[in-house]
Amino acid sequence: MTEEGNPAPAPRSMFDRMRERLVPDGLPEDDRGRIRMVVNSLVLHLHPAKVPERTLRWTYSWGLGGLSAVLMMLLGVTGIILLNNYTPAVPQAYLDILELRSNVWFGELIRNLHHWSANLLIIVAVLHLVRVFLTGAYRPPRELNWLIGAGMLVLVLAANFTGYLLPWDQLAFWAITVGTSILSYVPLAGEWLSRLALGGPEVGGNTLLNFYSMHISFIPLLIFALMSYHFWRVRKDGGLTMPRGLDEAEPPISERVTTIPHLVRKELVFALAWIAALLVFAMLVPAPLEDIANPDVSPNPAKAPWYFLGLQELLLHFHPLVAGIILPGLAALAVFMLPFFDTNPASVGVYFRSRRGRSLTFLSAGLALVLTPLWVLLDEYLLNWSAWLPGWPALLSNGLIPLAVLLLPLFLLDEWLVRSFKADTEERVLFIAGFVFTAFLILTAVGIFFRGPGMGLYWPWELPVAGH
Amino acid sequence: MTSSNRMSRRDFIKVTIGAIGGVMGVLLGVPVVGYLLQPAFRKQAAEAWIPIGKLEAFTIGIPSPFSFTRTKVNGWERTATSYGGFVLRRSEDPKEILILSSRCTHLSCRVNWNEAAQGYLCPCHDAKFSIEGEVLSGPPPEPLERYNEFKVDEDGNLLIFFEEA
Repeated sequence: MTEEGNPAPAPRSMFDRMRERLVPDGLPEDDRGRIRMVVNSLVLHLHPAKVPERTLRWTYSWGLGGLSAVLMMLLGVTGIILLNNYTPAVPQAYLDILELRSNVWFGELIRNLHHWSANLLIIVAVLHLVRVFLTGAYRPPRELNWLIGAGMLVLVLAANFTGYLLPWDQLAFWAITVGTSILSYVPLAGEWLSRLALGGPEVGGNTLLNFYSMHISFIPLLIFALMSYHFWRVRKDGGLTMPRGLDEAEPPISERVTTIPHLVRKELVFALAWIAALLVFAMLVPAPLEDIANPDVSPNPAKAPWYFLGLQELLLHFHPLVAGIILPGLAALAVFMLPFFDTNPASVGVYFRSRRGRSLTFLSAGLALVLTPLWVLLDEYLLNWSAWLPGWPALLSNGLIPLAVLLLPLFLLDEWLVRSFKADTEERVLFIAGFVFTAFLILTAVGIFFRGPGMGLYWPWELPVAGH
Repeated sequence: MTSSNRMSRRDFIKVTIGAIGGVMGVLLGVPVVGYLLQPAFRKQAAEAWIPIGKLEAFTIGIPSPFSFTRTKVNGWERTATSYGGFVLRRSEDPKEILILSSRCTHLSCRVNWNEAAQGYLCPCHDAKFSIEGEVLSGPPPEPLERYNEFKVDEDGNLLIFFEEA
């Protein structure tokens, strides 16, 4: 019954009712509506309703954390659908990959997307860590989020390593054989750990099953949980750190703008551009696949995945306990302890802390750029510790002694910084981290571009192009 | 704390829940942890005499490769593990034989005999072993493993005694 002055409701279709249920307020027309939309949405609520305009600068965060999340999403989706065409058994796993490449619609494309996203994720995650390090964004109150991020980086490496075995080709078999053999050098528990990882004495069917279950369930679940917590902590800790120029004394006061559209639009454009680029790349460049795993023949050279080649380079120079366990362990420990001894809040948000900090970082990177190749050459052609110290245990002669000889200059450099420049904690941290990180990048580059058959040194253009 | 020896209601509940929860945690935790750790403790002790070829097929003075596969069946799961090595006959005497494993003691890659270099070369980390299996250069901490127990049967087959660790 309609009363006077109360117009009859317009007839609404089923689709109108569905739309009203899904977006009751319609698309927002004003700032108030945009804020409400963020606050009322499960996903958008990861963001605050308003953000300081300055933190939106591309040249501050480079969108690296967001890109990591986009890549994780891509990896999740492509990974789940790849499960439909894969059996974790020997030799069926390899046959399944061949089938995927030749007989499954878009199988090759999906595999390439998964492979290249995973590789890109390592680069992006490391760059994200570098960005947070250089801007001091790990300092109180953000210590916990730094730890979670570093933990996720370890998990991403673990996901890559376990995934590397799944195609069961020569690359996979020998990279995992070498990688898990490092475990057996852990003091006391080594044999035991290696058996636990391999599910037997050698890489075999049990190892494949082990790695498969880790790769598709345990590691992704853990990453997803930590990622959610990581996002939530970003908000809890007050959002991104406020960017500040080298010459700005005080953290500037920045106008706050609504998250829709200022932040969300950027995120969408960024994500779409990267997904498009990855799609094109995956169409053009196939993921490598070699012959089926043959436990009797190690390929020459037998290289680890590229992101572990820095470690493999260390293995050429040091006893495995030093190269594979002590050095990475120390580096990881330093990363995890960092926010608890480098705590100065005054320089948060400034790239390189100060002009002097910037000079010191470039100085240390430059030193590493010169010294690392020099040391690789020296160790390759001149130094032969095990021959000079015959009868000494290899752990000493080829491990701890050269390690001490290497660490001594670093220690002296640090002393020099403190004495001559009165460097404070944050400058020493920048200097040492700059040196170690650059040295590791160079070792990785040596492993990728300069190591050929028999792991000898070659010029990149002399490397034989074998199979892939 | 009250002066009375009686437990407060709150403490009683805390202790009881803690105790029951602890027992249940152990009851659930032990099987889960045991299940996951079991592969590390699995004893796969197996020993056998394994024929690796006719004695006369191995040239005197030059290391010749051999390989064999051990297969374990566990329910529907078959696990094949490959082993390989080199036989060096020093002379006609069937006692004068050196049998080395081809597994590099550094990080488990397979070494190859290189005639030109007169040594076993490992492709992974540039290691070189002498014809006797001693480390000449590179990172391996120990010489190549030897199969010390071997025999030649009446048909002229060379057998090695294989013990799985």
